[in-house]
Amino acid sequence: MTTAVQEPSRTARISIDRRWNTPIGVAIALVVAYLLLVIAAGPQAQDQFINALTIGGVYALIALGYTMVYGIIELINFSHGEIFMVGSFVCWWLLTTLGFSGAITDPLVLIPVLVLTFVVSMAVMGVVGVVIERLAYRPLRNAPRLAPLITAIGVSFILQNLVFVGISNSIVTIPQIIPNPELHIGPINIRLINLFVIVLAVSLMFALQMFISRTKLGRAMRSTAIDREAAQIMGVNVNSTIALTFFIGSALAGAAGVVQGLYFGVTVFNIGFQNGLKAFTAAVLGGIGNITGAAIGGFVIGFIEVLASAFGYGRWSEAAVFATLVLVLVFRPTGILGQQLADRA
Amino acid sequence: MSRLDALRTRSARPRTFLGGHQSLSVFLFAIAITVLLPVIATLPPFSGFGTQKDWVNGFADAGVYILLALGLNVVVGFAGLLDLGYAAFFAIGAYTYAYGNSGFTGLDIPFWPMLIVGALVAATFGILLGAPTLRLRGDYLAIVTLGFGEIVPVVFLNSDKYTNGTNGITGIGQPSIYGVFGINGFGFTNPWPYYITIVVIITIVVCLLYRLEDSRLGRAWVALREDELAAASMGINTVTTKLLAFAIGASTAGLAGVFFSSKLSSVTPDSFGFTVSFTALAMVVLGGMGNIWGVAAGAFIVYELQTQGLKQLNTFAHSIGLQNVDFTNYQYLLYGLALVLMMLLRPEGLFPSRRRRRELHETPAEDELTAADPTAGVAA
Amino acid sequence: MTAAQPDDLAGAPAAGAATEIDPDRLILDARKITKRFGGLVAVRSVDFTIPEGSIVSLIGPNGAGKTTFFNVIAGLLEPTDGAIAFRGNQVVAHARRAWAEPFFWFALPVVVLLIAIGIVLAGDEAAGELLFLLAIVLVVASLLVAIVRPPWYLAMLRRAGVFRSARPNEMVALGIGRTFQNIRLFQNMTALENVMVGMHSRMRATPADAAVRTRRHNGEEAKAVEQARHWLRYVGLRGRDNEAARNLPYGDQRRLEIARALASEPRLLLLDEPTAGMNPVETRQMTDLIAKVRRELGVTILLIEHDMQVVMGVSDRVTVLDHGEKIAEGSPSEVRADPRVIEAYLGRGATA
Repeated sequence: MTTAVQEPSRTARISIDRRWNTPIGVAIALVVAYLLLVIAAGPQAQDQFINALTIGGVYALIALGYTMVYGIIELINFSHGEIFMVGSFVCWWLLTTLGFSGAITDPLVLIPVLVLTFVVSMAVMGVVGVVIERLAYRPLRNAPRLAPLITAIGVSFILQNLVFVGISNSIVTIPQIIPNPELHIGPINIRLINLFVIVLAVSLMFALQMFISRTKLGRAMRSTAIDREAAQIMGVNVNSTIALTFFIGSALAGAAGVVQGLYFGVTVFNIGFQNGLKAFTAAVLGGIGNITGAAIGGFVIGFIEVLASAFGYGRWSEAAVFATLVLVLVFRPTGILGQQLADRA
Repeated sequence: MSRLDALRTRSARPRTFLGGHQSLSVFLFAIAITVLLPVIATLPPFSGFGTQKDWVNGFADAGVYILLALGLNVVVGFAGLLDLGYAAFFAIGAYTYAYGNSGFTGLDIPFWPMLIVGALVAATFGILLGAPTLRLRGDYLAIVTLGFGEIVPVVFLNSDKYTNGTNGITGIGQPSIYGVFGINGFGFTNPWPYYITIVVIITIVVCLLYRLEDSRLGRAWVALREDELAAASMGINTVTTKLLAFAIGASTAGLAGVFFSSKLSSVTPDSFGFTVSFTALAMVVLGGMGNIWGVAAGAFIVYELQTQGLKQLNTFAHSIGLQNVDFTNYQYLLYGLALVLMMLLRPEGLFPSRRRRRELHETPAEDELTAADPTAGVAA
Repeated sequence: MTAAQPDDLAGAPAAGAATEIDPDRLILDARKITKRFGGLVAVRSVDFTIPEGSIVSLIGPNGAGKTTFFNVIAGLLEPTDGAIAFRGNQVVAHARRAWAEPFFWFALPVVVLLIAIGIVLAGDEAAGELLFLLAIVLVVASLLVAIVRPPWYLAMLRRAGVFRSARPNEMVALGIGRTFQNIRLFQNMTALENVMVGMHSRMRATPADAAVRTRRHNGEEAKAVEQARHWLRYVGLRGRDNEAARNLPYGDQRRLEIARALASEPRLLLLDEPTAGMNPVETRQMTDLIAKVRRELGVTILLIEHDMQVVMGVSDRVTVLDHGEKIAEGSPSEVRADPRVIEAYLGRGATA
């Protein structure tokens, strides 16, 4: 944990005001990705592009939880992927309990149902995250580093197998409640669900960024991430701040779970494992501990996957993601944006 | 510097006797266990669960997991690195033997040299995976190994041309020792040769691990685990020391893989999933990280509980009218619970090493310190 | 705890024998060391030399860059600029093109890979496949080389201008030992084991030796135990060999750190505030120990210290850092009288 290195770390960076670097970089990356897709998929390039953005949005939402938790207590929360999985099951449970089986065409019904699904799933998963933190991680906060990591793996298996034993040991189908017309916005053809997912993911991320940078609680989170003891001395309630971090992170994973349910229409007990791994890669890619970085990383992973499929190597997309992880760790362990939230050696 | 030179010439009694003594006791213990286990299997409660042959066959399978746990213990217990993709090295060892001795490649290299080859190939992959990541913080290693463990089976699955995809490689050769078990001594019908073989392998591995633990390298591992920066400042090359742990762990898994594929006579990608890594980790944690015999015992107990215990529990539940429960489904849930509870309540494991107990609990056990020191009373 | 007793293993050399210092025989010669952290300059273009056999102190107000400079010498930090020679060997050089190193690892495999692709495109799949395999083997080999860093590899890097600084462990092997400002012992190892870890770089037994218990391993281990006991007695920790480091009292932990550093047989010992948090009696004992180490073992000592009495008492020379820059250098009495030093410590106007 706090290794008490009095000398500044090798990776320390003073952030200089380069506020336009990120937007310009993102724009260039999007253009390049689109061109690659044109090469690979030809006429389907636009569909694939939107598809990549959608999948990337899901990864980004999960990655945020990894990056926040890592930023604040330096723990790779292996159970985070399972939170996402349970979130998708909450969505399934809610929609089937409410008795829906297909698209809801009436917006007056659709919108409340969507809001309800998201609120319930996010709240439930947020609470689950906090409970896990309280029971499994908090007692080990000052233990050797290996202990919470092993605990996290254990929690991950508990969640996965609770679903496996208690709910379903095979794929379950989730009602597709969002109708599926294709919208034409200028030259862009986009399905409603894709638009919905992308807008939702981006606005959640934006809200989170605002929360962390503008509010008092956000400031408490940032200060706890930088120096827990100092924050405590300055009157920050460290325990509740960490719990809040877990709540927000898990709630975002819950939202990602609902998106998974609504967009793909299926879920299964072991879906959290691989998605968690990919999302973690996204977090590392963007610079672990960095909120914007995690979001960008998520989209990058989405594009890598879609590109791999488009070039005909769909079976190898996981290998591609993993290779990306290793390459990033070798050549730029601080990720694309470096560390901003937490910077401890 | 004259003073240091004077010291250098002063040499104490060599410790060959102590070293030999330790290995000797491991051997004697192994022989005792080898004889006792099949005997116990014929005694009342156990004889009801299966024939002696079934039990011995199960013991040989348990041996594979004991090897896995022993190897993982080097990485997790000694060096304090979390390796979550350990099954990958197991897979690599298994496929190495499958390539070396099966109809798939047409090669027919005997089992015994392939044991070494499998270990070396696995160690090489261990180094390759560790090299880029071991310079980074420990938790990155966990996630990279996790990814590696996921990818290796996928690679074996997808490279149909080289690995026969889902169906795997079949017809893998059995070992033979001329004149002892006969050429056909090893086989599905007779588990005894495999049983003896795995016991011998485990015994040798345990002896070597004990010796490594009590050496310059073993001390370096502990130092690294405690404070990496200080260890580097005391002259320990952190990267190579970690890599050695990684390579030794991987090679042990490679040994297990060669044995496994030979005993099963086939390899398929789906026998090397994350659950294998996870099971091995649970065994190490339950047995007591860093304690060689504890880990071996833990692995054995966990394996027998998993294969025999849950089955007997099912039989019992069915006999009292609970027809719908299947306890084997709860296996990984139980592992998960065990991991969390152990970490929270007894992090040093069921059979802790003394040093680990010291590390994980604030209050040290004073009188054990002398006993824990392997060098005590040697040069006094 | 009594003050460190003269050791009983060998007769102490005549006191003062090693104190004849030749100012031209430098054990460490650091030139224009600069260390930046982002926009912050922690150390700015500091020239620093240590004559063989001397005790040199580095003082300065908090945040003056002392520990940073220390860590640069110990190999923990790579300087942004400058060069360090230790006993005539260039050990630390600013890594001018560190990013270029990976290209050295992968250059050959990539060439082979490209040829393989070319051959496959030309239609010969079998030969291409063989070359692919070769490329993989080369990747493996080059990665191993990059990890092990054999001398010829380092020489190649140096020739190409991609020189890398020595790592901390290499500095220890060269003969630089150190202690830490906030004690960093291996808390759960015994005192004896701590010291034995210090001997790591002076031991030669390989894991293979340990596995088959060769004579080299056995002899070396036995000697190491003997020697470790000697070092514990030398710093005044008689009879605490088997105590876990964390159970030792604070002052003893500081001594143990010094014993651990001495066990690596350093020619230059870096002590980072060895008397921090000690009472006057302990401080005097520590000062005596430092003087003894130099006198009896001939080890050169670089000291960071806040306690001016210690500094003025044992140092042959004092260097003052302030805001990362060297503001004064000289004998203790010269430095004490330097107006800039007084100003740095007491603030502007104190000299008026």
